[in-house]
Amino acid sequence: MISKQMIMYLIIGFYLIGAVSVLAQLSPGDLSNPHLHLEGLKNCTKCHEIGEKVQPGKCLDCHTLLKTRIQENLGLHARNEFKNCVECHSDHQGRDFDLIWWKEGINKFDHSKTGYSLEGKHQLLKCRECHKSDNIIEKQKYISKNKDLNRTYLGLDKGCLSCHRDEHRGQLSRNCVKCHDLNAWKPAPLFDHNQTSFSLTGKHLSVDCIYCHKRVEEKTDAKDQSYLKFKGLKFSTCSDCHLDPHQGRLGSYCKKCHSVNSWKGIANQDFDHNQTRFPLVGMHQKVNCNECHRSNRSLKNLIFNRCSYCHEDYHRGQFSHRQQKGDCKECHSEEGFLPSTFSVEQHNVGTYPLQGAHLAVPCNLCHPKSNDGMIKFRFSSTHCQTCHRDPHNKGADLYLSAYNISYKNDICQYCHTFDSWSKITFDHLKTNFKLTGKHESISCKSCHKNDVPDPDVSVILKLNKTKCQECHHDIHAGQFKSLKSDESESVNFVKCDKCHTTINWRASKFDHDTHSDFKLEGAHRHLKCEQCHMTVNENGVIFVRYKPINSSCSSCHVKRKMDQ
Amino acid sequence: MASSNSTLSMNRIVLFALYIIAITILVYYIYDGYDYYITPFMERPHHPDHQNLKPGGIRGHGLGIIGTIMMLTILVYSMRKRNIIFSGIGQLGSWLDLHIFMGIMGPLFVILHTSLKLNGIVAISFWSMILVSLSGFLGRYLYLQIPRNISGHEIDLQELESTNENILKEIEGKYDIERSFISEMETLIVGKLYPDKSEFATFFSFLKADIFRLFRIRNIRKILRRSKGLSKKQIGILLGMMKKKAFLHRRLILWNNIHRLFHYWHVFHRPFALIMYLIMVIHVVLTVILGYTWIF
Repeated sequence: MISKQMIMYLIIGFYLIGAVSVLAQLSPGDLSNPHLHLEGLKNCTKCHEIGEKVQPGKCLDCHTLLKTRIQENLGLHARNEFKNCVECHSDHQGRDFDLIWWKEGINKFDHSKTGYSLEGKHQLLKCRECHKSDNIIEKQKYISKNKDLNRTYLGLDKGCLSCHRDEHRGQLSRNCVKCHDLNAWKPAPLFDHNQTSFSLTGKHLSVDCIYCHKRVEEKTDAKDQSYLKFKGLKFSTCSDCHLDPHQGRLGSYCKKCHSVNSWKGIANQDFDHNQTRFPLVGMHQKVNCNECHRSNRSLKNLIFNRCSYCHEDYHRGQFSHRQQKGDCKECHSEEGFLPSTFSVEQHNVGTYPLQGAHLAVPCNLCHPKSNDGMIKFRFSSTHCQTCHRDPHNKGADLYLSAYNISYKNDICQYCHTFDSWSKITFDHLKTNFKLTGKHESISCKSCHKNDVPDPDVSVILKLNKTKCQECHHDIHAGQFKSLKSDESESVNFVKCDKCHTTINWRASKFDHDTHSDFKLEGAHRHLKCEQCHMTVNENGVIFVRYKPINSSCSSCHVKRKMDQ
Repeated sequence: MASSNSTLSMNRIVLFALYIIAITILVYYIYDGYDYYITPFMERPHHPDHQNLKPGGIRGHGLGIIGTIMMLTILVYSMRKRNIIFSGIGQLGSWLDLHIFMGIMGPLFVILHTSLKLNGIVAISFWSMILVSLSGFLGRYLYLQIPRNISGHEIDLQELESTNENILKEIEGKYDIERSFISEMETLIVGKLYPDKSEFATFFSFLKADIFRLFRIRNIRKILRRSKGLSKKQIGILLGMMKKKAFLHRRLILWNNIHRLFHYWHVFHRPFALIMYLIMVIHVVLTVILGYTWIF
């Protein structure tokens, strides 16, 4: 029979065994992993002060890194409101419990409480982007205290370079905020170049840094293999940075001519261009500098051995085939484009020597301005018709071929010379109309002009006219048509040469006695013609009546009496 | 006798008021700290109420102190029962009522104190407390099976048999019911009784009978109404007398077994209580040594 006492002892015994087994667990819960080594009864007082709960002093006995910072009044834990460790770092909550507690959440943590306010870009960073092993200075100090460098928030320095790479490779101050703000590395709004040994003035103010501070390759850093050179730059003379386009010819003191505002503007008005390789002569002395030294033109490689570098080729390459490649100097001088210095002699050694009237013709008559404003200097041919209109509309060709005449020169020159169009060298005897009398002195056009208005043919070379009346007007109103001096002639034609010669129109060949039916005798011989031959008007045609005339005396005299 | 009855009823009023106050406080604290209590343990230190409701917090620690005091007050009954203190003061039943009140409400305060965060050796104290408290209900049940007089002292077997006979005669005389019917009804009320079986079999049989009676009572009323033609009121009075008679009869038959069971219960109840107090003392001493002196 099991007695009451036996059962009681058994239960108490069972409990005591259990109690002993958990004696080490008098604590109200497991310590977190970082404090695992403090588990056990004998370790209680390592954290707990007898009669004083958990005092910061006990914590700081182990956390000496923090203790030092608190003593130095540095960081979050030095603040009064954070001096009671257990308010944030509660333990006995289990092995995996995170001892670090962000009261308002890690993202709302007021970093200024640590003594370092997050400003600018720093505000956007995640904690571990800064608080990481790479950024911890004196790593060994923390490792020796068993700090997990990827968990601790200690070890950072306020200095920019404790986290940031020194882009300037030690050339400049380690205090980055002297030049940069916390919003971005670029630009550096706090930097004042005037605080340096080289104050920026004029154009230097608007030049990007990199133009003066060149990038230097440096392979030591895998992330950034180059940097801008800020130190060790020479700047005592302009040519330390700037290339001397004058190659030293004008000296090394650039400010003698230039200012810092622009290379292009000549600061000193006494600048003597004749010191350059291009002394100013003639018209060049009158033009403004910027007409040659234009803003869009580099001065560094200024070429001036050809006019075309500055001047537009007015002739659009018409002379580019020439030996001097159409350089202006062949025809023009610096005294002005006009007049041209191109002489007749120079013209005469060309493909079209000037002769005769061409010598007297102004240039622009042969070289006129075309509609597009260009003066024409090149022609497809040197034939007369290239310039001159053919008034015969190829009549000369037809004429020569019709007469089987071969002519190797320009066909115009068969009849004409360079001296004058009107000076015809054609032998009219080759035609069936010999020129005599007045015909020899009159212009060709008097006979050969086209009676029919035709813009293409104004002069007809071959005339099939041999009768006087075919060219000349019959002022006698046909009174002599019926003259039958030659039965072979048509009555429709008047043989003028019966009375007239080619010398003039005077009727020098007319004999009143033989050529008329009324022989002049007596007083009649002394009469003027018009005393008998009256001017009449018949049907609107006014002419001198020669025939028929009544030969009776009364027909003249009575009437005259009556007229008296 | 009249003075004794009025004292008893006054004690009950005070007890009722204590229950109301204690339950109100507990319900309020549960309601007020509900969000904290349902927060996972690992997140609780980050809860805004942690400093107040954690076991070492102002309220949490206070609840622990109150719970501890209540648990210590439980011992007053044992000492009074053994006349160590308060000898002759109040009736033993009232002290038992106080003992039960403290045994129920004390653990609830302690539970709130722990915020259900049970670690280390103090957890043994906690679970011992739970076992002691729950076993208290069993003890109370067994306690009721032992007939006692008004002062709470046990009635001896002879007195019990006499009381049983008196009731039997009263039923026979009042309702003219034969003994065989009364016996039949008793079986329906308390089940068949097996005094020769073991203590634990006896315990389970009357536990089973007490449970099933809840369902049988309607049937018993029906039998009484049909067979004896009694009114509803008469059935109520008769049933009360029959239940009293049946329980007395069961106590008579199972006297030895119940007493043995009650002794066994003590064997179970006391060591847990002892362990609970022992570790509780260690816990309290340790916390005080480490400086956790609540508001002091």
